[in-house]
Amino acid sequence: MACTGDRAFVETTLLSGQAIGTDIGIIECAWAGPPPLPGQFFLVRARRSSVLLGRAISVFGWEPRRHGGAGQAGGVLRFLIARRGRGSAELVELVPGDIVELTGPLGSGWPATAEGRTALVAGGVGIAPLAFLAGSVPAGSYDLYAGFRSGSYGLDTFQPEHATIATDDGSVGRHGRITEFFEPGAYAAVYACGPEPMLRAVAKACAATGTACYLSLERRMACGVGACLGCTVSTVAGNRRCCVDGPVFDAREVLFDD
Amino acid sequence: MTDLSVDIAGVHFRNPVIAASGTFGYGQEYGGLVDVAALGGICTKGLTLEARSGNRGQRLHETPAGLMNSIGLENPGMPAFIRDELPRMRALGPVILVNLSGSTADDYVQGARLLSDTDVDMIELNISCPNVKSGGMAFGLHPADAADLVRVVRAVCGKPLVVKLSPNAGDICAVAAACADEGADALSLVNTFKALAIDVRRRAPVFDNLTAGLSGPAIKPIALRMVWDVCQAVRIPVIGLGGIATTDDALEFLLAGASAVQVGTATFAHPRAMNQIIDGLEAYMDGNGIGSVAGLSINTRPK
Repeated sequence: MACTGDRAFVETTLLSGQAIGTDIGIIECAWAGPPPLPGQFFLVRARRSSVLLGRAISVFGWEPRRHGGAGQAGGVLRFLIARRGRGSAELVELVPGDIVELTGPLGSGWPATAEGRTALVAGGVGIAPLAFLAGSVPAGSYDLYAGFRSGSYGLDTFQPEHATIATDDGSVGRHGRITEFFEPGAYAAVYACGPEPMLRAVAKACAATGTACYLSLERRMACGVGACLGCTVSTVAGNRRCCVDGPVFDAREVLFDD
Repeated sequence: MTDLSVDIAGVHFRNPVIAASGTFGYGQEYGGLVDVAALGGICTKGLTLEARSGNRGQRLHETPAGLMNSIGLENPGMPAFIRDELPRMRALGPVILVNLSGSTADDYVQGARLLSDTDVDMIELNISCPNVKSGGMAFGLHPADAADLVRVVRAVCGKPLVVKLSPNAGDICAVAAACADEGADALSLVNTFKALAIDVRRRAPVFDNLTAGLSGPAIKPIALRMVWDVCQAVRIPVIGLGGIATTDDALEFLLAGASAVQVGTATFAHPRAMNQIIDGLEAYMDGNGIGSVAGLSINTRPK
């Protein structure tokens, strides 16, 4: 186990795995490395795996806990994972006792929340880094906008002043895309994570009202530490690395692909 | 007493494990996750004379036991590297190899001139990048093209010159021999294999550039065969790479006649892979009574 500085590669044990429907899972891992900040992520890989690389997964929850030897800090990391390819499917299907390889915490966190009302805007599993953020700010200090394809998940830790939920199929909350029900004008700052078309729409709406907006972006990653240049984000200042310059970016700087 | 150190073209490495170009940035990025000071050497990301922004679109695609990349030599340019990165890199301790690329022979010559006035230890001439429109691998597919480039770079290069070969050459041994004949001090092989992936949902190639370079365990047996063959074809030292992830993988390349190895993709999955390989090589050599890395080779190299 390497554990130097502010991040570490650690083999740890899966404490619990909970399936939400067929395509979403929540896993909990013991973590004795450096504590994560809201917005940071880990490279997560099952030790018994058919894939090569860890998958970049934002921290969904962090529960510091004293355990083990005298004064040893540690806690429980929680990840919300969507089944997409082989790698993420393995993570969704992990069972307690499985060994998990974690590298992290990586990347920048969310910037400090601004004075005034804020909005957290989530799409699908993009709710994960916002749930961690919500747990670190006072209850009722923000409004939540969360969109899902069908049903909802990951909402337990939120204590918003107002919550707006939308689903593509109308099964929970409003019927439609969450961006149809989101109006940034009343907010001092907006924090968003979700599919890129959703983020583009949020960024555009915030630009129109001059509202500060921060986006947590997703890219395929290999190293996670800024070495391989595989996770490029195009910005007004040129290429940035999603893994170390992000994953949270000021929306005004991001150049979305056409 | 096991001695892991190796000397390649007059450069002393404390052990034969080198971080491969493009996988270890400029040495700082993995701080805290890798014992960087314990490495034998670090090879920089591919550098060109002018800054480059690299390729657009998706740049990475994982395959069974492999990784495809299409970075396209994104780098800050040689002068910025020398000014901003090299002093910090020097302070890390390991031998510094600078991977030098370019679009034209003149680009390479100018880059080699700039590097010759610095304290870098070696230049790794990149004639094997498959992800750029001009230069790179274009110099590494045919012996005559490789010879022409090595000749003009050799003429201005005040540093030991390693030439990094492409597995996409029709006859890699002929390219190797051409480089050796023109004064290359050592060879490193292999760079990535030119490969293709298609997204069946979008019914389009995964990469904007169509093809990309394949690395990782999937290529290791082919890389090893090429290292074996090149070790029989030339007298100069060979640095082996291609899918090395474990001590046994590294040993295979050293047994095949390589003087040192580079580790790349494995670091992405397991940051301490190189540290574990260094420890593993020492344990293997101790356990088998092999006193030097050179004593590992089972291949017959020409005198």
